[in-house]
Amino acid sequence: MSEADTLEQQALKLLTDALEQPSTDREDWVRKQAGDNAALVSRVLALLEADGSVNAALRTGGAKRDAGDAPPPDRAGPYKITGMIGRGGMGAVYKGERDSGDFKQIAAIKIIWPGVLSDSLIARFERERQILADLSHPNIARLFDGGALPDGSPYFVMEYVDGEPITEWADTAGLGLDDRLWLFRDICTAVRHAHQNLIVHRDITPSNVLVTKSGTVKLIDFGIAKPHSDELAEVSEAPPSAKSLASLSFTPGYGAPERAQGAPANTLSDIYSLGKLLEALVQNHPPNADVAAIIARAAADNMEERYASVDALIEDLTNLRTGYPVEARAGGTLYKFRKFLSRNRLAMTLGTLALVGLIGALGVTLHEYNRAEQARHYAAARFEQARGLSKVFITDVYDAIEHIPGSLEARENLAGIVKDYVDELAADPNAPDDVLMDVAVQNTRLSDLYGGLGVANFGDTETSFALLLKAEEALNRLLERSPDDVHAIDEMAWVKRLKANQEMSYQLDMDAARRTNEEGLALVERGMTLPGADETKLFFRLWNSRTDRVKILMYQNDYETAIAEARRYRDELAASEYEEEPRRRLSRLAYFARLEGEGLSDTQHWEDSIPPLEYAVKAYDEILAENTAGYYYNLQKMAALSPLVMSYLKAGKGDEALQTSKEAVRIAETLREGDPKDAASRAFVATQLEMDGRVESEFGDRDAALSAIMEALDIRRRVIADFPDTAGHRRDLAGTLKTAAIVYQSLGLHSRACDALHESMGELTALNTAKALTDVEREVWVPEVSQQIENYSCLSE
Amino acid sequence: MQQPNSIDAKQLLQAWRNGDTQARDALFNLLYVELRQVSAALLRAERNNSLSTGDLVNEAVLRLIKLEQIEWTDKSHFLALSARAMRRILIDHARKKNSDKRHHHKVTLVTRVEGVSQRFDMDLLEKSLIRLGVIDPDKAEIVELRYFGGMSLQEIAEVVGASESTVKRQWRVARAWLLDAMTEEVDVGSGYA
Repeated sequence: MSEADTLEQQALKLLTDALEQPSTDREDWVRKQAGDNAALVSRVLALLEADGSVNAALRTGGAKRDAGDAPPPDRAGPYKITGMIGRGGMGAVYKGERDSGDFKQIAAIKIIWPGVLSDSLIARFERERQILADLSHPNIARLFDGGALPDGSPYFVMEYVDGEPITEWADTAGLGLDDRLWLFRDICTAVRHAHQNLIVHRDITPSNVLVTKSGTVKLIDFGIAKPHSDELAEVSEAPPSAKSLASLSFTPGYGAPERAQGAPANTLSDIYSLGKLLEALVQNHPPNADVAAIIARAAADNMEERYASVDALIEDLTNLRTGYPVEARAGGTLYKFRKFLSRNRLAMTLGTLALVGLIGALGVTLHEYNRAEQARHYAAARFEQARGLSKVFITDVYDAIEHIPGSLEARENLAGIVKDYVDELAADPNAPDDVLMDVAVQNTRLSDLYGGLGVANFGDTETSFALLLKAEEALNRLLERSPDDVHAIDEMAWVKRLKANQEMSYQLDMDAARRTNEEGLALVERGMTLPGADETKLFFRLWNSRTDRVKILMYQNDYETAIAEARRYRDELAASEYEEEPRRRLSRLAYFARLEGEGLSDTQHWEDSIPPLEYAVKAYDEILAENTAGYYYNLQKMAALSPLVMSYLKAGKGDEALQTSKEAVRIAETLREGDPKDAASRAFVATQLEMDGRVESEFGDRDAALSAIMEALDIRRRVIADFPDTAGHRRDLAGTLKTAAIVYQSLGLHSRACDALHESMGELTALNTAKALTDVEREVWVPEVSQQIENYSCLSE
Repeated sequence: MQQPNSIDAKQLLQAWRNGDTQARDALFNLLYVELRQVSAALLRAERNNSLSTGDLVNEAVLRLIKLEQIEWTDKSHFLALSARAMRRILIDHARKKNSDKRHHHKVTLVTRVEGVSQRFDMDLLEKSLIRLGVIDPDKAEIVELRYFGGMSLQEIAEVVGASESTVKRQWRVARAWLLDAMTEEVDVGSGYA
């Protein structure tokens, strides 16, 4: 070995030991150790300098990036690219200058490689962009803008932070334990602020926490740091196991363990990362028991054992500093939150995991809001913040989670929180127009959650209706003040429609429904003549209200008019020149065809009803071919199949009846799978099974008929047990029992048929006493059941 | 495709686990063709998306696991082999690129710009790494595993049979040495740029 090599070996050895010394003492220490070996001193000092140079080179796994040679683009939107800051897993970060306009601005521009972000991630970013842009906190690097390059690569323009990773900065500055903890606390307040705005960082690591030369700590890359594994685009040429890749390339050491299993990021995973960050920050300063406890608590493998919110973590840091006992050491968990979790079993469901984080964030804010309330003088800013948050929740978040299967329970809990808040807003007699609009919109949304027709709901129709009345009241206040506000008219038309539907379907008050529907129609017609109507959905409201009109007429037993109106609307639609998406028009045509067919089927015009119903089914198939998972269209298709089965049955078309009925059951079951507790979807399954039992008993298999009808009855009874106060479910049971009697009788099960009829009559009598029967039911059903009891000679036994 | 003999591979692996570095090299040669094919294919496919070397190496190893040529429990050892394959491939890649634009004679180097580096010459890194391998082979190996293989400290610790904290210290020292060595090269060859 050469002399030079020996010197290098000595230098490496001395450097290793020197790095164990406090950074400020290293130089002296090296000189002392090396004695008079000047060459060695100079080598080690050079190496120390190299060690101190914060450097993006030679990072873990960085070889490929360093070898890559993608040239930077010239510009990104209004920014001119002036240099590279670094490369990361998803793309590169450049320094850019805004040169348009009067002001100059330097920014960091993160350009994502094409194909890295999936559409869903881009969509998420679009949703969050405004919130991200509004995130204003001294320790959060601002997001200024975003867009896409001509080649489609998305880019984000962020505040340029000239700084070093926090751990390196703290070492360089020679910070002691106390200062490190205080620096860390600043980061926590930044993360708390983001969580309160429903933004999760997703990738808190030292390289995303920079400290500027002036010593200010800044979190960068909020919300866009990393795609969630299933948001990673599936690039066709990419390796097949993108998922395994994502979990393997998981930021080692900082990501929460549940994320490695594919769980989405949430506030609790950010807390885990904060714990790990603290650990890294104090690693060269043997932490005392309190600090160790805080780290262990924040970075607990089990989510439930972590701090429930960043607030709690900050509180413990404050306890530590002020000498109070540290909560983490008491071994106490945040009992309430844990209980909340176990009550909701949210943590068990990956799909709703993100909600845990949102609830945590929401809880923190509302807690603060309440505290401010108690003080009776909350700042206007806080009010706006809470208002914005609630709005985001009930619009964007609601939309985002509405179609997550199994999210009903989570939504129910969240809805309760927002409901209280909206009531607070409405209580203000001087609430301005826009606040009243908020109140109306949010109450309407909440009403959907509680018992919306045709959407997955909690089955609480009374609360749902009460919320609609609150929305109506807020809009009345608004329209009294500003009668020509088209947006308020638009919203009111929607509320009227929902109200009419609930009056029709839940309260069975056809007169009220008719009245509400007519009020809505008049409002729409007036609204459509006002300036600004084009920006509203009044055109759609018109058609919605017209469909309601047909339905109400049918419920009022005026089938002749109903069928005629449905035909008239179909013709008008077919001739309409209103520009809209073809699928929408097709769906509307299908809807009126279905109503027409349904009316004909209900009035026993079996053969006549088949063509419009078949038209409707075919139209929905066309729509569903593009979007098989569409809840709404599946629902509509099922609604068309239902009378079609009956018409085939009565027209003696056995094969068609069997086939159609099976398809209807299948759709109903698919709808129920989305949310097994949803009362409406369970009722659908029962209805279709009921029909299927009838068809099987006539054209098919005896056992199949029995099993279908018994399952239908079983479902009806379970729904009643879960929602005993909704009269409609009892009505449904009475109807199913009547069908069951027909099936039993045709299969020779005479006494079972009689039992079913007696039970059906019992339910109908009880409902009639409670004034919960429609005219049709009272005038047609009840006599039918009586007649059947007589026909089957049930009374003579 | 050369189908590695799994019995040989297992024996070699066992020997390597017991500290026999010659067994490692033999194993590398046994699997190299495969590793190179997988890595190079990934590298090509990778052009327009952003897999890091760590991902590439992981993916190569996953494929071997899928082919049932190695056991999951041996993952970190095979990650190490793949890291080596990756090093060769990337260096070849960089050299080829350099020779393509030889007439430019432009070498980008590690320079401090706003606290972060510009890209640098892989060829220069390879030279420096070879030298480090002479002075301190353990540290050179850690660089290979971490920089080319994208392996975690824990995985590296398992492969080299040292504690994580030792690996971490060695990595830091090695990194400083390499950065310094590459800067030295610049000074020496300043007429070059």
